[in-house]
Amino acid sequence: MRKTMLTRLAVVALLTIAISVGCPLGLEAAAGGGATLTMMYPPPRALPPANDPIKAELESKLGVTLRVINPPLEGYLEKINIQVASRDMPDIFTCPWQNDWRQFADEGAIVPLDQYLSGLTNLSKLPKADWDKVTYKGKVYAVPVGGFRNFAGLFVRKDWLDKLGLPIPKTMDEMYTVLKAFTENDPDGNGRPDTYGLTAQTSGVDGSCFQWVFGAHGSMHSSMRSIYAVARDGAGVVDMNLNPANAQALKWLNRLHVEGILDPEWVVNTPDQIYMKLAQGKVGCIWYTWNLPYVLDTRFKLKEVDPEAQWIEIKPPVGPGGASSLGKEQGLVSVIMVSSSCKNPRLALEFLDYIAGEEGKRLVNYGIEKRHYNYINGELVFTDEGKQDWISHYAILKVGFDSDFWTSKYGMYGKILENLALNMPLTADAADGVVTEAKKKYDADLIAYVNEMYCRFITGEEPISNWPNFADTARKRYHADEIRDSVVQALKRTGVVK
Amino acid sequence: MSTRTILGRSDRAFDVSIYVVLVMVAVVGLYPFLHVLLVSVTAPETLIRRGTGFIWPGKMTLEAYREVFGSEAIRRALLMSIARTVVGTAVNLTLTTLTAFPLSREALPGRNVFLTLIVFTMLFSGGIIPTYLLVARLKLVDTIWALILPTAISPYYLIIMKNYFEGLPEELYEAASMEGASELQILTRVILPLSRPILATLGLFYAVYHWNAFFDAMIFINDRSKYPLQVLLREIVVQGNVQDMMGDRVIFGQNMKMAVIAVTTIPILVIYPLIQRHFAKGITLGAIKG
Repeated sequence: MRKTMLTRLAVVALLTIAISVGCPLGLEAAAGGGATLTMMYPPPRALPPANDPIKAELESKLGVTLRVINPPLEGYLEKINIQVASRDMPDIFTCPWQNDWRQFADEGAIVPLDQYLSGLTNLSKLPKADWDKVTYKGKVYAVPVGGFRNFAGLFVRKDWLDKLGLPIPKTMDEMYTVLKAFTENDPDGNGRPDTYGLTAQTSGVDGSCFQWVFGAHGSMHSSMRSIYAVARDGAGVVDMNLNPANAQALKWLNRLHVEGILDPEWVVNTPDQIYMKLAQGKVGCIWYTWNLPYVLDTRFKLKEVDPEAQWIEIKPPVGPGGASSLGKEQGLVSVIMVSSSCKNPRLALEFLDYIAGEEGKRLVNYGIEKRHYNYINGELVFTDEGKQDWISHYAILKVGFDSDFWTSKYGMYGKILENLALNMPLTADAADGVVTEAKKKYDADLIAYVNEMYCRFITGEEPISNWPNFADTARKRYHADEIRDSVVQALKRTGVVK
Repeated sequence: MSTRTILGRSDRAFDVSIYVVLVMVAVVGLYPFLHVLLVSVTAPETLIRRGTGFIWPGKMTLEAYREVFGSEAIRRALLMSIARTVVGTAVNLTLTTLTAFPLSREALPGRNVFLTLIVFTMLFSGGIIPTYLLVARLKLVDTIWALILPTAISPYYLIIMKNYFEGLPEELYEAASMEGASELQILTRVILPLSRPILATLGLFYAVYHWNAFFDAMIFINDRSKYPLQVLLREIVVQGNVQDMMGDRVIFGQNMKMAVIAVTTIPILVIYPLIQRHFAKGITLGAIKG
């Protein structure tokens, strides 16, 4: 009995070992004898099927074998760092723009691209300003990925506005009235005071979830890093997180908090909680990612839960001084780098140049003509197969905002993105992507302090009258001045500031 | 007599209170699982209408499971996880036994040197980058062996097993060798049949480790078709919590997340009752009676 059980176990174990050795878990042999290009980037919306026709098409066009590595987004940077440290790198890899990709140049893990770029006409058409941003120590070290100015929108419940007989708010005063009515006038008609005017999610936002409030007061805020603007009156470069105008914006938000209009959980909301609250009809307004209505409709079945519910994007309301801004203008999205272990950097850039051109752009974004998309009367129409998300798997380099793509693929939701990307007032960070030693050293602590104090100002734990103390502490104890001075130096070198 | 009845009563009261407390503890422990299961079979609309908290699915639906098992990636990852757990545990047990047995024999020359070297690795390790370099140079990246060989022997479990072997009566060895058995025969014919509790216990520990591991797979595996389930689970459950301003990620509904958690948790849970018999014996090791 014992013996049989043991032998059986041993047989099973040996068999499994044998099977797994035999089955293709080992290294893949590169198909064909041609060049191979290994690329690593976080996985996009969906992954291609096994017999991916677009990959085959790309490979035959360029005469290379493509090998794509898509590690999970969580842990992507960890994976890059380990591979860079071990010098076991893919040929091409991407890095989110706000991360310190320049360290890879310092470590000699990526190669300068200047000598390989000549004659690549599609890449040379990328905006000069973008190329400037990826120039480091006088050399181009990466291919800039831009293409979007903005992904976020200010959304309100249109059906609640209609029900309460309120117009779409255009000024901050009207906005206040609307949010107050959303809270107090029972917009969902269930007879209970269980709604909030406004909610927010602070985590993961590059910029500020209340940027539209700061924008209405002619200012900016970022909860991720110090941001700057060049003052028009010649006052130099201003650290916008410490801009006195922000005190007025915080005062406006504090009023919402005190009157119970602002969801008290705004500091700790996770995306899951946000979607739940919105799908349950607990909140009437939020600044969020462009695809909010899409996610609510498809994943949270909003149309079935509440057929009346209608979320629309609105222009950011105008403040007392006539200013308005929806958010921080997106600089670059990411950068694409060529590693020093790449045998043929020119080939890597030729691939990028191809997908930056018209033919390549269509192939990697739309798919194969006739199979995935058609032009009907000059209009882009996706087939059912072409509507699948994986189609744009290889579109690592986006050039400009492609309205056709978004509206054909996502219908009315794509229209929302188009509106947000093209028609909204935005504010730019004058020092977007500038990294200095002082910034590396002090910025994280400074921002932690700024975030804490902003939160206290909004909740009223700290009276707004303490703003001068706060700004003073940030400047002196948290080195805000030192960071700003280093940034000014950097901006002078690039000619942004005289 | 009367004192005995009174004692009996208070004993019974004590017993009852023990049961009440333990049932409450069990409910606290089981509720999360129950919640996961209930949410996974609840229609998203119901979930949204009722809110979080205790949910009794009004309208049951297996839609989430259909989506989970309909996904080729998840099916493949499930197979990969099973392969990793089975092969990995087999390798673990084989190598741990083959190392622990000689180390448990006093006759082994340099026994303490070997033991010191092994214990040293419990306290100090090369770190992730040297480990990666080693795995990469051995050409193990993207193979199942990258997940199995670096953790083939856990020093901690090795010592437990060595101590277990040492606890077996010396007379067994003497008797066996008198009969003319070689060391290998002693191991396979005499020691292993007596070691089922420890094999089951350590096998379970190793299996649970393999089933739950995700970090090594994320680092050593590049080909997504070779990812184990845990990596995908993390992507589905954790990644939804990272807002991506491009809106370029798929957002999963709550029921889908819970269905994936259920699919990931249940297989390993099922193993427990199967080897619980040995498990209870093995964990109280040293309690062996001669």
